[in-house]
Amino acid sequence: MSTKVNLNLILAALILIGPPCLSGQQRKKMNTDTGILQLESYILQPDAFHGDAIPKRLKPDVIGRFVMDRVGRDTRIKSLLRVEKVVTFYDLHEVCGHLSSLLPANPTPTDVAKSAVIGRTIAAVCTPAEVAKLAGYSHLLIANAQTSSDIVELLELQDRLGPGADSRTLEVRIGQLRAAAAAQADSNYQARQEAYSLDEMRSLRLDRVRRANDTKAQLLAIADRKKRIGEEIKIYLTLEYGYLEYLTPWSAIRLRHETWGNSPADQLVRVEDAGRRTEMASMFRTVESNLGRLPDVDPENIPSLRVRCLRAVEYFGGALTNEERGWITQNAGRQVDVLSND
Amino acid sequence: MPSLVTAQDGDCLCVIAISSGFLNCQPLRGDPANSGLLNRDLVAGDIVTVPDIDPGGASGATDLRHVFVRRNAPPVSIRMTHGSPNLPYLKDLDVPVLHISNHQTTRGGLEDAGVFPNSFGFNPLGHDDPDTFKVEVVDPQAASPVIVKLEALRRVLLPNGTFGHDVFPAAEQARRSLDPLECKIVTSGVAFRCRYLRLVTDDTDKAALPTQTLLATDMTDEGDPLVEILEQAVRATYSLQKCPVNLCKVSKTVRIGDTAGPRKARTALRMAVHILTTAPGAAPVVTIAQADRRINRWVRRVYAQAGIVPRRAQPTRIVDPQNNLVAIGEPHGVTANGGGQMGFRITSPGNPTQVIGPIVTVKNAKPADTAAALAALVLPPYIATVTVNPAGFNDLVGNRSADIVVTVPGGLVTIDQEIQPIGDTRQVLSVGRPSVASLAGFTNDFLIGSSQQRALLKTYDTGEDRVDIFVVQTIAAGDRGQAMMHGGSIDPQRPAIAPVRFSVFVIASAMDGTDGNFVTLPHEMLHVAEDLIHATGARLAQQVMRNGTSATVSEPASKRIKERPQQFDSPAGLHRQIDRVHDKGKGLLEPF
Repeated sequence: MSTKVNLNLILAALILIGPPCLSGQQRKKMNTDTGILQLESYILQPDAFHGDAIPKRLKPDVIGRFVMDRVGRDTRIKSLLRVEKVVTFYDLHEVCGHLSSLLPANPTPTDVAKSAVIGRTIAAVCTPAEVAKLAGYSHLLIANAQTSSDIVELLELQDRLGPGADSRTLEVRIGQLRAAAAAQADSNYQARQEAYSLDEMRSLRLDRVRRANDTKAQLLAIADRKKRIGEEIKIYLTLEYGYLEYLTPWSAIRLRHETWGNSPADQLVRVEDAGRRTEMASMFRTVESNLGRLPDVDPENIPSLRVRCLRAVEYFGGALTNEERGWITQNAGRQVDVLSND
Repeated sequence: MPSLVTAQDGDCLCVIAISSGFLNCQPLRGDPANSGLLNRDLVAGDIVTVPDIDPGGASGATDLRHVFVRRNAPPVSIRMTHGSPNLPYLKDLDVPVLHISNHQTTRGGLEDAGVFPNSFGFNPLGHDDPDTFKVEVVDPQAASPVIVKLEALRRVLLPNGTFGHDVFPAAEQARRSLDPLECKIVTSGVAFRCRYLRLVTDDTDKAALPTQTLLATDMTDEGDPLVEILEQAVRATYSLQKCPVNLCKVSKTVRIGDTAGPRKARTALRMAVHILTTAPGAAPVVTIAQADRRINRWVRRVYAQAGIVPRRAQPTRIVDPQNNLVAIGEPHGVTANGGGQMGFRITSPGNPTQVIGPIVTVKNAKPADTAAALAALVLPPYIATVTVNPAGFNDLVGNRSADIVVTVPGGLVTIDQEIQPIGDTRQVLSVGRPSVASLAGFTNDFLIGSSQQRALLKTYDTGEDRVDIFVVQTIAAGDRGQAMMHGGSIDPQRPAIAPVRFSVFVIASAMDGTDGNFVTLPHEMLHVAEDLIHATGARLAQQVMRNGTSATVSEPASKRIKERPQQFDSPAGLHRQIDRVHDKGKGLLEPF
C-alpha cells in the first residue's frame, strides 16, 4: 500500500513539474510536432472511420501554418473535406486568403466538387465580404456541375452561404441535369438512377436548405441575446426544430461565435472573451440541470443530452467534477459532440 | 540368427543397418531376403532382414588405455528444429508443426527492426520469429556441408482411404522446393544445420529470399483451387553421404498448420459472395470465377499466417440492385414534428403497382413508428420489413432512423414517386437506390451504412454466421472497400444491427482476374472478424490492417498479420489479432 501511495505522489509531482529533461522550448516543439502528426493523419491520410475525430486542443497557428503549407490545388477531395472540418471547428479565418487562392478563376467540371468544399470552408470562417464574393463565384461552379455528386457538394455550399444567398441558379441547374438524365432513363439504368437522385435533390434537399436558411435568418434576427442563444442551444441539442441536417452544424458554429460579441453583427472575427465563454458554459450548465423537465424529450436520450451539455460546459471553460467526467466516460460511447474538447 | 525389423516412415536400409551396429547398408543389401527392397524407398511396414553382425575383435596390451570410437553413433537422423540460444544442439526440441511466418520475409527481430540473418548458427534476429525453423541432419560419418532437399507436399487421398501427403505435380515441384539446401556442421561435431528458414505463400516473398524460404501456396491458377495451404506438409530429405550405393536417404515430414495449438489454431472463416450487376439483368461487375479465384488465392494466402482458411458458406452468386429501401428519419433519427405527409409507390414487373399512403406524420413519432405505419399499408404480394438502425455517432443514442425494405418473391422491386414537398420538417423519407457503378458508401456512420448499402444488405444478406461480401464496380468516395463491423467494442450503445453487420463491400478491381488490390478483401474482412479499425504503431507499413493497403503484390507490401499484439486506433490499445478473430469473430468460424 505504501509503495502505491508513494508512486502516486511521484506521478502527481511529475505531472505538476513536467518531464524534467525537456526545456520549455523543447516541450513547445514536441506539442507542435504532435499537432502536425495529428493533422497529417487526419487530413492527409483520411479513412472512412474517423471523419469526426477532429484533432482537438491544437494551437490555431499550428493548424494555419499546416493548411497553408500542405493543402494545395492537388489536394484530393477527401482531404479537403477534413480541412473543412478542422478549419470550421477552430474558426480559422487566418487561412481565408490561402483557401481563396485555391479556387480556379475559371472552373471546369472537374473542379466543381473540390471547389465547392473549399467554398464551404471559406463561407464558414471568412468575412461577409469574402462570403459575398464566394456567393457570386458559386454560380460558376453551378454552371459547371455535371453530376448528382457535384450537386451534393453544391447543396451543402448553398446551405453554408446562408440566408439571402440566391438558390435559383442551383435549382435551374438541377432541373437541367435532371431533364438530361430523364431523357435517357428508359434505355440507360445509370441515367435513371441519376434522374432519381436529382429529383430528390430538387424536391427534398434544396427545399430543406432554403427552409433551413429561412430559419437561420429568423434566429439571427432575435435581438435578445439570451433568447437567441437559447434557441441555438435547442437546435444543437436537436430539440424542437426541423431541418437539423443543416441547422445542427450551423448552431455549433453560432454558439462559438456568440462568445465573440454580443450580437451577430459583432461576431465577425474570432475574439476570445472569458466573460462570454463563462456565460455560455453557465447556460449549458442550466440546461444540463433541467434536462428532465424539458418538453418532448425522449427519456432514452437524457444520458446522451447530458453528455452533450457537459462537454459544452467544459468546451466553454466550465469545470466538471470528477463524477461528471466519469459519467461522460461511462455514457458517451463514441458519441461525437462538436462543442467538445474530447 | 538374422533378425527382422519393421521399417518406419523415413527409414532407409542404411539407417536400419547403422542402428543394428553396421557402418552402412552393404550387409543388408547383400542379404537375398532384402532383394525386393533394394531399388525403392522403404515405406512404413516394410520388413527388413538384418543379418547377424560379426562383432570382430581387437587386441591391445593390458594396463594401457585404449580409445574406441563408434563410427555409427549417434544414429543418422533428420528433423526440423527452431533452435535455442542455450541448449546443446541435440537437446533442442523438434518442431512438431510448421506455420506460415507473420513477419516480413527479409526482416529479423521481434519487430522486424533488423535484417533476417543469412549466416549459419544462432542469431536472435532469426530466432525471434517463432515460425522460423532449421533442418538438422545428424550423421557422424558425414563431412560438412551436407545437402538436403526441402519440399512442400500437398494433401492427397491415399489408396487405403486415408489422407496423406505427396509431391506436387512435376511442373510445380521446382518452385515449391528448396534444393539443394546446405547444412553446415555445428559444434556438436555430428550435427549439421541449415540457415534460418521461413514458409511463405507468394512468389514475391520467395524471390526476396530464395535460399531461405519455402513456398507453400495454393494451386488456384495452376488448376486445382481446392488445394489448401494449411493442409500441406514439408518434407526434408537427406541422402546419406556415405551410402555405398548412393540410394539411402532419411526424411522427415512435418505438417503445416495446427488444429489445436495455442498460437494459430487452424479454423475456417465462413463467407458468402454476392456480385452485383450494374443494372437488373446486366452483366456482373466481375465473374463468379474471378471472385472465387480471389478468395482461393489471396484470402487463403494472407490468412494462412493466422491459421485461417476461407470457406464459402454458399456458392458465389450474382444479384441485381433494387431501389427497394425506404429510409425514415435519416440522418439524425429524430422524432417527427407532425403534420407532414409521407408516401411512395411500389412497382415490380409482373406484379400490381401499389401506392402507399400518404400518411400524416404524428408529432413525436419515432422513425420506427412512422416506418411501421407505412409498412402496414403494404399488401401482398409485397413484403415490407421494418428495421431500426443504431443511432449515428453524431446523434443522441435514442435517435434511430428506420428502414422499410420491400421485396416480392422471385421479383425485383422499385420504389419511386416518394412524397417530398409537404414532408415533415424533422423526419425525412428518402429512398435507398444502390448505384453499383459508383456506390455511395458510408462517410462517417460505419455502423449504420449508407442507404444504398443498406438496400443491398437488407435485401441480400445471408446471415450472421458468415461474412457477406458484396462486389460493386466502385465506391463513390474512392475507397476500395468498406467494412460493416459489429461495433460492439467500438460503441456498445450503437452496435450495428443483424442484416448489416459482418458484411463488406469491395470494388471490382479488388475482385477481378488480376492480382491488383490483392489485400483489399482480406483487410475488409478482418475489420469485421476482429471488430477493430486500423493498425498503428510498429511494423505498420507491412500490416494488412493499416489504413491504405498496398495495391500491388511485393515482399514489403501490407500483407502481414502480426502475431504479437499490435497497436490499433479503435478500440485504442494493443490487440493480438488472432485472438480477436477467435473472440469477436467466433460466430463466423467453423472447425477446420
